[in-house]
Parts: sequence; C-alpha cells; structure tokens
Amino acid sequence: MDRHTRREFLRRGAVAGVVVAGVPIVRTFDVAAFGQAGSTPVTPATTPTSTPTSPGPQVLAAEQSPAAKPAGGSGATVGGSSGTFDPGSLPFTGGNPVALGTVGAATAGAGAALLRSRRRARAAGVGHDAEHAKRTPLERLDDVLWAYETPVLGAFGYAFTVRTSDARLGRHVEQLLAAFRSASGAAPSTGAEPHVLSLRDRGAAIQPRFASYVDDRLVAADADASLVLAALLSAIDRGAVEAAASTHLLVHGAAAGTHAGCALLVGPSGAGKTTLVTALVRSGLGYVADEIVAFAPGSTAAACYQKPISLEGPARFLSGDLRDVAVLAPGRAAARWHVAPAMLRGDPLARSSPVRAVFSVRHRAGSATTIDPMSESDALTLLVANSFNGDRLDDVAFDTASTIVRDAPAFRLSFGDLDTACALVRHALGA
Amino acid sequence: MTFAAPAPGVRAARCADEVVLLDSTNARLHVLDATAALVWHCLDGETSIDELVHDITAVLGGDPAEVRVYVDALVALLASRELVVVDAAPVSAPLASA
Repeated sequence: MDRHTRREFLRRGAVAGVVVAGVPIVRTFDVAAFGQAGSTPVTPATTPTSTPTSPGPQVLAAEQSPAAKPAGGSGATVGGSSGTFDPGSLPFTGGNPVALGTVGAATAGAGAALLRSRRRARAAGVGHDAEHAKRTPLERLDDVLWAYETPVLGAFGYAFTVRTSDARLGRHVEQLLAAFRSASGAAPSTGAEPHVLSLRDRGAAIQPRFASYVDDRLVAADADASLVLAALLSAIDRGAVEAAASTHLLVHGAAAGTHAGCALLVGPSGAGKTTLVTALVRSGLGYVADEIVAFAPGSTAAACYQKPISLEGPARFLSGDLRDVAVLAPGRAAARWHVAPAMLRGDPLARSSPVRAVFSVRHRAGSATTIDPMSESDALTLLVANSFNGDRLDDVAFDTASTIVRDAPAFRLSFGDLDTACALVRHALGA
Repeated sequence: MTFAAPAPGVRAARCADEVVLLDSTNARLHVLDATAALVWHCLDGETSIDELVHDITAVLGGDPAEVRVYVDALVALLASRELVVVDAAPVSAPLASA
C-alpha cells in the first residue's frame, strides 16, 4: 500500500471518528473442531436394565459378548438403560467423547474407552471393518428377512438405502425421507455403492427390541424405536456432512422462507432451531433445511436439506398435535418424534433461496420474546463457530460466510412464545 | 525499524468497520474493533511501524506517543496470537482475503 492510498484509507477512519489510543481490543473465539458442532447424540430412554428372555438371534449374542465390549469394560451401554449406543457412530458430538455432555459422564467415558479400543485395534493391525464384522457379522444381518427397502436416496452426495424388518415401519421411514428422493437429495453419481442402513424389530422377546445398523455396524439398540431411528437419521446427517465438507460451507442451523429468500436460524443444540423452523413452516413458510444448512462456494443461497423434523424433550409439547403422525408405535413411549415435512402442512418444501436474515436463536420457556440486532462481526463469528467445517474453511467458504452476513441483517432472537417469534421472523423476511 | 504483515494462513473479512480474522492454523476467530481494524489494514509488511505511526498522527491527529503505544501494543498482541509476522526488514505479505 503506497503512502497516498494509506492516507486515503486512514481518512475514512478519521471521518468515522476513530481515535488511535488506549488499549487494543481483540476478541478471540475457538472454532469447534470438525465433528463437534451439531446435534447432541440421541439419549437412550431410561428403562430398567433387562435380560433377554430367550437366547435370541446370534447377532444379539455378538453385541453382548464380552469380546464386543471395549477394553475398560463399560461398553457403550448407558447405565440404567437397556439401550446400547455406539458413540462413534453418532455424528458431530459423537466424534469427541468430551462433547458428550448431555449423555453424561458415564457415556462419555464409555465413548472414550470405545475410541481407545478402536485405536488399539488399528495400531495392532486390526482393521476397522474387521472389528465391526466381529461385533455384528455381515452375514447375520443378511440372514434377516427384510420386509422393506427404500430406493437409493441421497443427501449431499451420501448415497444410502434404508431397509426394515417391518413393512409398516419401512413405509413410515420412506415417507420421512421422501425429500431425499427429490432434486435436493438426488442420488449421487459417484458410482460408489450406497450405504445400507438397517432398522430391525427383533421382536418383543428380545431386549432391546429395536436395533439399527449402518452397513454391518450396530449403531443403536433400544426398546424405543424412535431413538433407534434417530441414530439412523444422525448417521445420514454425518454422511451428508462428510460428503459436502470439502466443497460447501456447512452451518449447523435451520432455514425456512419463500422463493425470495429465507431466514437462517443458528444456535447450539437445544436452542430451539428445529422447534422454530417447524412453527415457521406450519405458519406458511417453505421448509428449506434443518440441522445442516449448506452453501455452495460463492453462493448465499441455502441449499435444501429437508430431513424429517425430529423433536425431543419439552419441544415436543410445543407442537403437541404432531404426536399422532410422529409416534412410530402408537401406545409406546417415544422419546423422539420424527415428522415427515409433508405432515407439517400441504406442499411445505421450498427451493434453495438466498439468506435474507440471520437469527441467533435461543428458546427460553416462559420468558419474554425479544429481538435485537447483531453486528456483522458477531454474525460472522456465529456462522463460523456453528459450522460443521468451521475449523477447516478455505478462503472461498470464509468469503461466503462474510458475504451472507454483509448481505443479510442479523438478529438475536430470544423467544418464549412461538407465535411471536414466528411473527418477528416473518416480519424480517417481509413475508 | 520494525515491519509487520499478516501471517500466512490468516484470512480476513471486513465486517462494517470491524475485521474478523480466521486463523486456519489453529481454528480461531479474532474480532478486531474499528481502531484495531484500521491499523490491521495498514500492516502490509512494506510500511514500517514508524512510518505508519507518522501517517496515523498526520491524518487522524492525536499524541504521537500515544499512537505509538497503541500500535506497538496491537502489533505485539497480534504477534503473540501469531496473526502477524514481525521483522526488522520488510516482510512479504500473503494475499489477504479482504
């Protein structure tokens, strides 16, 4: 920069009233490592530990054999629960046992032990696949009579099919994943074999009754089918993130809007993004994405990722009338409600559209609903810190994030009342 | 004389009158307020700190000693976070993203 240019630049600072004195102010933030942004793992239902009443199929014996447990003994079974979850199989937070806070220290410890055992196995020359094959031999899954299998589906280049041992359950799952058959999730042309996701009802005599697998790997087993399905949906999220991380900016958020533009909702797990996007879609906005909001290089348009809406905890009861379409097995407890977008209202799916407003959302039950503007720098920090690949952004992705916040106003939205929050978001969009 | 330039791997984005730096080497974000951002943009590796302080004082006014203290403190802070490289000779600056 020559002196003339520098002085012209400094004059703009003078016009803005900048005074160069005092203590320099630089705020520093850590960006979550890849795999740490995103939803918390599914939390198994708290049910008494049970013992199988029959020998059951061999696959169960393999899952429960001491050899299948990681060194250290605790395995991945959460204390006090009949559910078995493989932390390594769960996306995002599952990649780092330290981040398994919501499941509790016991599970985090189990996750760490499992990861340690895998590292030891690899160091000893035992391959990842061989280790899993030992736990849940492929031929045993192939021996199951599968009643239903979806066509090949795609999520950002992650190709998969889902098969179930129960036809009714299969039809339900296919309806949940219908959007992944559309242009937004067109089957990839990579030529790679699609992953096989399996959801198995092992019958009432076997506990835990339901189990899910990615290829030959057990990812969850629980008496609650909704949790087992949640693990499969998380596997799809993880596959989509891994498929697109090198090419897209991947924000952990949700988006809804019109053809003219969408609202990008960002926040940590449990902030209320899914709850709010559900309410926005039911209020008439188009559903663009939940969990993963992807941006192609140089584009401020949110790509469609129209996964099922999954509600858990108190969030279920903010949309309580969805229970009938969400619960897999009526009469059973369902810790998670999975709702097909089509069940929210008629024709709910939107096309990819540019971000018109960014919201840092936080649901606070019983509190007033407030909205405050955010600075561009805070908004950019929000996007990068809540990106699945924020720790490995290239110049283009970082420029994409900065363009989004330069083009769209950003707000902090703290909501206690869903209707008011919807009205505020719609007002910001002019919708 | 002292020269400073953005470190390799540091990406910058202007956000209104602030600047956000992404350090890809350690996945950290740094937000510089308007004053720090103004100085940051002038750290091109070719302009000495003496010359920069002189220009700032000439254009924005202020006590040269106070300006010097601020610029030195900022450069030291940025260097401690490995956001700039400092040398006694001119430094080649990487292409900045903003």
